[in-house]
Amino acid sequence: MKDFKSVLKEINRILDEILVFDIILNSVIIFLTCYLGLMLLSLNPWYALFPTLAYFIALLFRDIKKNKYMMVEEKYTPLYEKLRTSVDNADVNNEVVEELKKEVINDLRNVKVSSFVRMRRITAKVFSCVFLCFIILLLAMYGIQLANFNLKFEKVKELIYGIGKGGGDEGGDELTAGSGEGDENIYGREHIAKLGKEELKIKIKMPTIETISEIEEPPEREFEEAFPDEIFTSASGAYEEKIAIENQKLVKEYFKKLSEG
Amino acid sequence: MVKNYKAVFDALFKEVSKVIVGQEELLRQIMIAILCDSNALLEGYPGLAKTLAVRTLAKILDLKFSRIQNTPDLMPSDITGTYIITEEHGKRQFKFQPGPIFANIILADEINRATPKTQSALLEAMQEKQVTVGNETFKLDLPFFVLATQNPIEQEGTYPLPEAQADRFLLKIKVKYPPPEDEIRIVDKYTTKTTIPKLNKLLNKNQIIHLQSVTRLVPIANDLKKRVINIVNLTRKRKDMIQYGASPRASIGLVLAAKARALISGRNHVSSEDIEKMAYPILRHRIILNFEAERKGMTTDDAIKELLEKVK
Repeated sequence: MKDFKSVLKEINRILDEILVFDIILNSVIIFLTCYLGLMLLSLNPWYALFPTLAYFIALLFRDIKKNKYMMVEEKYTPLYEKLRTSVDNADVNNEVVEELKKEVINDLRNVKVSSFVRMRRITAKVFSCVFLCFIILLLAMYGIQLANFNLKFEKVKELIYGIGKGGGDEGGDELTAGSGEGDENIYGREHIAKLGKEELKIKIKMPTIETISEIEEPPEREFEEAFPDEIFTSASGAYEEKIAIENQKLVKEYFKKLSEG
Repeated sequence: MVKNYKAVFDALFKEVSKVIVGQEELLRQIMIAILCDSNALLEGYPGLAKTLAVRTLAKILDLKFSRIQNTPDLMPSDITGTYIITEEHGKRQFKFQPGPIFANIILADEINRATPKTQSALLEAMQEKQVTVGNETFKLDLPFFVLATQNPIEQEGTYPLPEAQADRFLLKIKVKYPPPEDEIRIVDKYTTKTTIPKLNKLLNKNQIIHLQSVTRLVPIANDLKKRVINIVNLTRKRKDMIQYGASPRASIGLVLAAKARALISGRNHVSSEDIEKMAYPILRHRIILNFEAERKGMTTDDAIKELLEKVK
């Protein structure tokens, strides 16, 4: 019975679509919640994709395997056990089974797709999505963070990275060079600047949608003149006297006295 | 189509109710055994209209009915028939004289009073639908079913059916006492009138054979079939209460009986209710409880109930 099989296909297709839509909606909520959480902890919010994908795949596998006919039977008691019997005997052709198939097709006419769509739940989920998006935008705008886990995470990473390199044979030299107290302390750390006693007032403008839009590409300038002649480059050179080590102190004293005199 | 069959069965039960008050479940289960082309064992105390129900049904079904009253001195030949010497045209010859087994509905009253030898002769006919006397085999007229009765009391001087032979009966129907309101109607019916109501013949041989073939066409869902197998399998696994479980014959019987029940109920598919209802008459004579279960006062019906609750 060709009609009956196409009816069964339609049931499967429609219910699959409803289930997938529900999974997508749930996945969006999970993504936004994780995104918000990671943002508050100053971690990369795109990590939220991992739990979302895991949830989506797991639920998709579970729901696609779900018996759609049982779902219909649960909603419509006149079809209880009738639908699955007719499905299991779809290829059987006898007077009783044919009658059953006809009866099932008739009963299926009363089945409304809307009965499988839980409007209240979907509305609540959509509103949750909107609310989460709004919260994320607000937090991004004011730069609110609960804890700076990113820094801590970086420290842990550095520590692990360092130990990792020091432990190995290949990285051994790098570790002593990086963490040793020899040459490094002579010049000091590059990022530390002596500001003196005066208080430095720095204000960073909040990034907003407006300011971001104001940012423009730097204008391209064309230099008509060539460099002046006085500006030129020459190869650098170094000269070092070959003085014996035992005489070096004597030479040093000589120049010192010369400068004092 | 199935709805039309339901109308036939409803008319049949209505006709039986002219004679039998209540006992709807008994009549329904006898009808199921007939639709399954099988036999039933009726167990109940005396005076519960077992014999009357079968006789009434036989009249309505327009089938040849015979009754065998089993006693310890009943011989197999008394059932199957025997060769007798006849004289025709001055010439003597052996002629086969068919016994009461050559009918469509056999009521074997108090089967447990017959000797094992006689029981075997009857059970062979039930299984093979044929009778062998001497060197000759005689086919029995179809449809053929035996409805045997036995008393659960007065076991002295009886020969209880061995399990292997009891397995030949598709159903073991327990005939219960009627409820008080039915009993009042029974008393009224049989104490006010002397005339037996006239019964109409509703189904003939061919129609019954057709219904038997339709029964097998009733579809069953795969998960319900699986449930039947699981129930029967569990009877073999539950060693804590069942000593011997049911054979695959029970699985076949349960599916078939459920199909027949669905047809009688006017459904074109088997439901889980059919399986649950039929599990009792199908399994109760096929499982043997162990000593521990019997010591606890458990009955086979209790065990079946537990199995049904386990296998959902």
